[in-house]
Amino acid sequence: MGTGKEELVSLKCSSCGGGLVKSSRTYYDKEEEEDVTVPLAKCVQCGKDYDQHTSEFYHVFADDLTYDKDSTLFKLGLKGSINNVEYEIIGRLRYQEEEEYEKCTWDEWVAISADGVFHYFVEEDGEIWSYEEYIPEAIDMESDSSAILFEGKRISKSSAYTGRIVLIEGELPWKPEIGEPSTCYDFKKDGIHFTIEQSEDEVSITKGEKLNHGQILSAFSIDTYKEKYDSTIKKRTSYGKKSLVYAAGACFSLMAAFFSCFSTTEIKGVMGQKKVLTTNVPFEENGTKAYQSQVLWGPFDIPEGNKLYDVSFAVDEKVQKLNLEWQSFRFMLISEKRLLDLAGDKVNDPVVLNDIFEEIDAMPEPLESYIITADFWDEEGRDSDGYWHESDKSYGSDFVLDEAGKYYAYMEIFSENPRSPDSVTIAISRVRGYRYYIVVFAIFIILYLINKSKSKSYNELPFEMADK
Amino acid sequence: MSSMNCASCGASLEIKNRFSKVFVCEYCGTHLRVKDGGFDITGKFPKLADFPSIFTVGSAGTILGKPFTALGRMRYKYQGGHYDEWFIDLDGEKAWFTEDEGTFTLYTDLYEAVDIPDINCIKPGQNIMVGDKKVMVKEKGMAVVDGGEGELFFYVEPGSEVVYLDAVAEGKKVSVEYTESEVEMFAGRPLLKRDIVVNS
Repeated sequence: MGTGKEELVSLKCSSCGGGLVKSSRTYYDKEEEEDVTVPLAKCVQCGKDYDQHTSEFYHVFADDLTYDKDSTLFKLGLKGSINNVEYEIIGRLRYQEEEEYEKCTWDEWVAISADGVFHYFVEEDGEIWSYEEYIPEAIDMESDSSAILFEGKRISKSSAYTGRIVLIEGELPWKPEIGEPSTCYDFKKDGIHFTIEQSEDEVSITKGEKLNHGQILSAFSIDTYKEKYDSTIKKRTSYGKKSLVYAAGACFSLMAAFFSCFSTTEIKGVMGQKKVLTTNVPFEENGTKAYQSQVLWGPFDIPEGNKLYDVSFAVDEKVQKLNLEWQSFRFMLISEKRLLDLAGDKVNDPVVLNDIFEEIDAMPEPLESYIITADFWDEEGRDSDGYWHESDKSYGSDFVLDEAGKYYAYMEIFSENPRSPDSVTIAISRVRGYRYYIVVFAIFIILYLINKSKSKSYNELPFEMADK
Repeated sequence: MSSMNCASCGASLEIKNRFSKVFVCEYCGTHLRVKDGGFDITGKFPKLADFPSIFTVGSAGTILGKPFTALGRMRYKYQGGHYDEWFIDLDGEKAWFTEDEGTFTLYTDLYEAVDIPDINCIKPGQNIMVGDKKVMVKEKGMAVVDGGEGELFFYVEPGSEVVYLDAVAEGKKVSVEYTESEVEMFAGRPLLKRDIVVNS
């Protein structure tokens, strides 16, 4: 049994006997694609490095890994009773995970029970586990190089992690040493949590049960933290309830957004009054020949202002197929009053309309008109996967119409080949404000995440605690 | 129960178990080996220090509901502590009861003179065949015999080194002890204190 509080022994360099100090090494990490600095113990005399796979490293860095050693639920000498069995905490080991450069520790509290059995309470990541020795019906750690066979279950050896002792306190039934490694396997079998720890001197097999802090506070009569624990649990419960309310709000707003997407009301009569102003007027731009048509729809009535509308465009292939060619358009929705103000009695003059479009398009926002440009295309080709044929023959856009009233829709259609101006259709629909619901949904989700996180992390206690 | 006298001091010795091979005279501390119907003095050793134990020689009661009598014990010292191996009569059968740092194990199965691999090559986690039993070694250690008292089923002279293996097989705790002269294996189970009732 250990002799009580173990003092850290200052280790010397195994090569030259020199003193060891904290140091670091910087190297380029190919995966992270950046320089990474890692801690090392270094001999001041010969410069030999000791990394985290050596005991010497943990002697040098023990203080960095134990500065919070008093911020624990258990304390040496605590006595308590769980399931009518009395326990006394007699010792403690703190382990650091070898592969972690940052502090990643867990405390193993050794207790002796009135039943004459050693018991282990583990504090890790705010959880408490109670372990007792387990004698398996069958265990084979040797025959399979890649797995441990444990009562018919195969536990991959690659799941192992190594813990290094960084703190020894109290009386222990064996003599551990700082830096001593222990290979651990945590696994579940038939719903029961087991741990196998293998060190150079011993294999220990334990079965564990998760306990909560409330049970321990009550079992060991730890009154110091009782009030803070109750307050923490109360606050966490409150945050948990709020998170449920926000989750429900998020669901509702998502459903409302979804519903809004499918509840649209088409503005009737948009296509009703249509004037084809020009048809396939040839022009040349940057050496490319193309054709332009101009179409004016309206006036038609849009009955509600300050609402969200969707305007959709499509190639009507019943009129003319879009076949391995492109077609683009410029579209303007303009109020009847404004158009009449600008065009006077030349509302049907394609040149005047083109000028108005150019003028409005060049204006700084707000335009008080709605301008949309888009392309339709149909293409084919070959690549490494073989033949492909793709097309895009529709387009949609949302806008908020400020004022209700009579409107004109003016469109300039450009195409690679002569195309019927009737082959492009437009439709304007009143849509519900799903964007607003999406914003509300996002707010609810943020509130939900904040409260959910607080329902787990809010803590008035001086140690981590995962109880809900 | 029969009675004989100590070959060293003449004190009367009560023999409680027919399997006993060695008796320790409670008066003079002489270790007496049973030989040719009499006692052979093997040596005189100091009495064991009086560390608290659940039993004393002669304690009776029940273990797991079965009647027992504590006949004698061997004490072993190891790095940082000691453990007692009690020789008990358990409902008419011989059994071994170890008390180590407040934990208790009852061994009821003895495999004598077993053939197992070289102790120096064995490591924790390794499988070894002990007779027809495949056991996994949990721990390997070395102890020194500190002494004994009462009636003993086997005998190792105080001061002798013993290498021990703690192992598991078929849901049982297995203990293997190597001495200069023999290798013995015990199989049993851990006990809770509540499993043991000692008559006052």
